[in-house]
Amino acid sequence: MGRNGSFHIAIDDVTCVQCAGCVSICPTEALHMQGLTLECHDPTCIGCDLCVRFCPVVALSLHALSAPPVRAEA
Amino acid sequence: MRAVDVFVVGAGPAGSYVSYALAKRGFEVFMAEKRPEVGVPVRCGEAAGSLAELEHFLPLSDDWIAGPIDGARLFGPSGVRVERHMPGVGTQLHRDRFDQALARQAVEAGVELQTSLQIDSVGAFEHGGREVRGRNLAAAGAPFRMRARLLLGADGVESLVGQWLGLRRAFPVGDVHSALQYLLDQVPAGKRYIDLYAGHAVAPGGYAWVFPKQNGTANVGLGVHVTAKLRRSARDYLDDFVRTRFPDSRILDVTAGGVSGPRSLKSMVTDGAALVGESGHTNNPFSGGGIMNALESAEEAGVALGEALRDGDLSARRLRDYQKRWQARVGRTNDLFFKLRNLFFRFDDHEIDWAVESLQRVVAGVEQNNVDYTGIFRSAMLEHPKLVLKAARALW
Repeated sequence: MGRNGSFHIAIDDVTCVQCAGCVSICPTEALHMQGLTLECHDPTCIGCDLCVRFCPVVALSLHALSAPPVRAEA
Repeated sequence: MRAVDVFVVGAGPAGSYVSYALAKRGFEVFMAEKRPEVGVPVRCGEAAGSLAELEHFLPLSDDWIAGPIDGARLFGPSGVRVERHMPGVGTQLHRDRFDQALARQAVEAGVELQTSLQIDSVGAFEHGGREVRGRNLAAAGAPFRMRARLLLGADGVESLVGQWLGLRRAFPVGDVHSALQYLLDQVPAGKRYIDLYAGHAVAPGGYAWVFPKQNGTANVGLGVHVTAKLRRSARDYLDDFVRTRFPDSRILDVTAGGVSGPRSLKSMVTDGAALVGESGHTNNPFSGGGIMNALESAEEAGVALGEALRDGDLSARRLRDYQKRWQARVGRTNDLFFKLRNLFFRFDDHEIDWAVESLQRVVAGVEQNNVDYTGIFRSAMLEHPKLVLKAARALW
């Protein structure tokens, strides 16, 4: 759906209850628990939106980063 | 570097019980828990089996028993319902204290438990064991290393150990429900039944539940099936549900998480390692429930892995005895529930109503010792011909 490296999942730390449900469904393992805090590894995120729709407490949102101008090898 | 017989990741019911079982057989067991306190925070509906079933695993205590469950009611979207009175069929738990009691039982049997210990890697199986690495979160992330002959992943729904071992991957879309639960007060006192509500307006592809606790409180929650069509969050659905049915209640606590309805793992074991409990996909794929299943998988692991440790053969081939025992005890039934789950996803509201009415006929029949399966099948053929096709597709 997306391209690696063009997306970021913003995490609302006040709303997030660290249930890690999103970690268990992220198809690229971009979301992970750093200790007891949820983090997103942007270069791995493909912007599929699954975690955003999954999050039971609506703590996640998807943001497009400024896309790289060209792909290295096209 | 320190070496132990068994290293267990996660001090939930599966981790604590398998640790206890192996320590009792004389092995040196080390159990790591990421959180500073076992059992906290609770991520569970807290409904488990009967007292007799629980007592098999742990001496009963009022400390963690919130009350009996004396039956169940299932409501279809139109309000049709089926009710079954089954005194003491289940037990409502204080899950935090339940987990703590299980961990205490393990520690008293000789298990060494360390909290605030995050595991980052489990190493390869070489020289008869694995090297586990992690960080002590209570000591500014001080590095941690330990060798173990046998590694057990009991790290729950989001199991990373299972992924590192190559035994499981992130769940495919649709295999995990997005679930949210409130602890509500001022829930009208009634029978101690668990109430389940199905229907697309309440919880698309899932169900809502009301599990009574103590002093007029109840766990009220729901899980929704995450698909491309889902437009609202679990929170939107639960807020609607609570506003309609419990307008006077206050929210005392919030629990969220993924409820998995997993397909059985092809393999729960590999060389020198195995998965127990939900990390090994042991929970019921239809209901999502997993406490009793986790304990049962831990018990089977205790027997089979204990024998493997004793004989010094920790090859995947030998550890598979555990999986065979699990399959015979619960796994095969779970495979059937997985098919039922896929059938349920295809139901529209009319078909859910029909299923509830049919269940009503089964329950009435069981009570009179005469279930009219032919009549139910006839009504399916005549009133819901599409349902038969859907069933054929989901079940075969």
